[in-house]
Amino acid sequence: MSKNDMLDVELLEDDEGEEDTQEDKYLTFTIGKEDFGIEIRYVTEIIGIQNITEVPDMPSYIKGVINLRGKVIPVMDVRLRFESQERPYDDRTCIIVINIDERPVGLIVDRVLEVLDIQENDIESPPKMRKGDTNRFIQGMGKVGERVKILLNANKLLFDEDERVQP
Amino acid sequence: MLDIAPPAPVVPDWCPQPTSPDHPALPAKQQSQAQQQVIRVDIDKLDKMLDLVGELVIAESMVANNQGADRFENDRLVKAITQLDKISREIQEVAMSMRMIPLAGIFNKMVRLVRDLSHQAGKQVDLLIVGEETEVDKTIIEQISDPLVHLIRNAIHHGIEDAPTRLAAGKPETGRVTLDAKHSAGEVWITVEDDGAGLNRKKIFERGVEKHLIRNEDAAMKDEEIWRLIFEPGFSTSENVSNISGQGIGMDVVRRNIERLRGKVDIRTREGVGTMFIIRIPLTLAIIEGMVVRVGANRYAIPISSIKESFRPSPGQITATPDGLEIVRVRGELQPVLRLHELYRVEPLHRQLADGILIIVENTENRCCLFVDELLGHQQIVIKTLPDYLHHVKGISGCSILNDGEIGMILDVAGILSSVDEIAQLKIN
Repeated sequence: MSKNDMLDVELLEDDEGEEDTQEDKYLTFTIGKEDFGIEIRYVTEIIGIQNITEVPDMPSYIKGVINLRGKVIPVMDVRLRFESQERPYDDRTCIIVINIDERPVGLIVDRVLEVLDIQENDIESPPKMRKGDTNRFIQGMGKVGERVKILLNANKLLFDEDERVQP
Repeated sequence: MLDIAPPAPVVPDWCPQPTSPDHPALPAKQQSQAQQQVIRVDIDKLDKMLDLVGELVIAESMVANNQGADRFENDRLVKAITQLDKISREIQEVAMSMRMIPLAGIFNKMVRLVRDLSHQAGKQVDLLIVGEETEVDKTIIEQISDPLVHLIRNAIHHGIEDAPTRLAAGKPETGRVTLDAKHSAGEVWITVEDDGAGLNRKKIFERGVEKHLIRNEDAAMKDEEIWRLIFEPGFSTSENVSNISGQGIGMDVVRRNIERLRGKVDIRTREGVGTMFIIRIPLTLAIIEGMVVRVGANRYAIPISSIKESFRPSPGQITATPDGLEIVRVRGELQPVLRLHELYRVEPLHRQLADGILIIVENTENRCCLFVDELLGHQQIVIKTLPDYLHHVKGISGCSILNDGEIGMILDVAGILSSVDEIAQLKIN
């Protein structure tokens, strides 16, 4: 759990001027073999994995809460949100703290890659063929060189109710 | 023998009494002499400041509990920490007091209410106000108004008798309702008292049976238990529902509002002499004394104010009913056991009751034993609400950063107690 070698990309507040420079920029990370991306304007910081306090009565992908400099922040394991296998956390496991509507949430991912510029015309709409229902989190497919980055819709990732969890 | 304290013979003083938070007890005379200087401050700023003070208290206890600093060999460090502790507590008190407002505003509104209500009911009623300068947190002021209105309505409508009945009973023709506030050991006590007919045990009992809250066989119930029935939802002994009382909100709402402030309501009554409702609310809502307990890998904080006692049970004290409900016998009284690890679905350290600790928690009406792995000691708990993203979590009223920087969940004792019956039912079915 070495926090020092984590890249600490503390981004500035969402100012008007900031908005322009943040456009088309995605923070990319991996889960399993796939690369994912999330719009950088949501991301406030990246931290190493920390002690997580369990909260009772939560869906399995909500791992609990962490103490981020005195603020209590819920954390979600994106792996479990996609219903893939749980994997033990290691020193590459990161928490990406995103902030939507003043509500900060931490996303646990396997490893953080880099910030990429992906132009709008390099992004294709999500595949129409439905296989499983985790497709609903996808905003688009970003083509970067040979690779394809799956761009996530942060809002859906956080707030889309999982029908199957509902009683 | 019931002790209904005689109301203090204080004439209400209607002139506004400015009070400074530092000297709430300063006589009004002295205060009017010193020119008071007041600035308006945005409430958000005060709340922000209170938050920061909360952080400070946590940081301070993290420093004080640092294992690394060998406190016995480092005399100066010990002294400095003690000093820091003293200062941070003082800052905390001052910060709290900045949100404090005297109850006078609300109390004075009741004057008009009493006049209107007594007029409507055709009764003569005087309102006596005592201790209106008592200061309480702004949140309390906001939440206490409805319960007070309701209690006063009840006092005038159900409590105070009409003039002929009063005269026949040898009481003065004019009834009296007393509204009293005072500070007492970290709590504010607000009492609503009337010199009316008192609660009628027989009527309440019959009503309770009728509403299926109790059964006829419960005739041996203690008086206090009978009085508590009036706080049950849907309970009303009044034969004719008027526009004064019985407007849809019952005494259960009074109790719920007060429990939301982590307060309690006690009833004292004597037939023919009067009734007294005592509301006790903790002064600070943001920082409490809590007992930190361990269940498996998790830690939970229980507000000290709701803990009655804790003990390690001997196997002989425990009885398990065939349906799996465990009951522990403490000095002749039987208490249901609620295993926190089952409630929160965590893997406990101990499964045998005799290996862990039982904590008796109570509120005004219920009591039960919580089973935990061990006690970790008590500390100041700065209450933080859980992030909204998690919505409401059953059995948890918030969370707090413990003095090692980790997060602990705060138990919602009132919520747990009200679900005890449900859980017992589940086990039986």
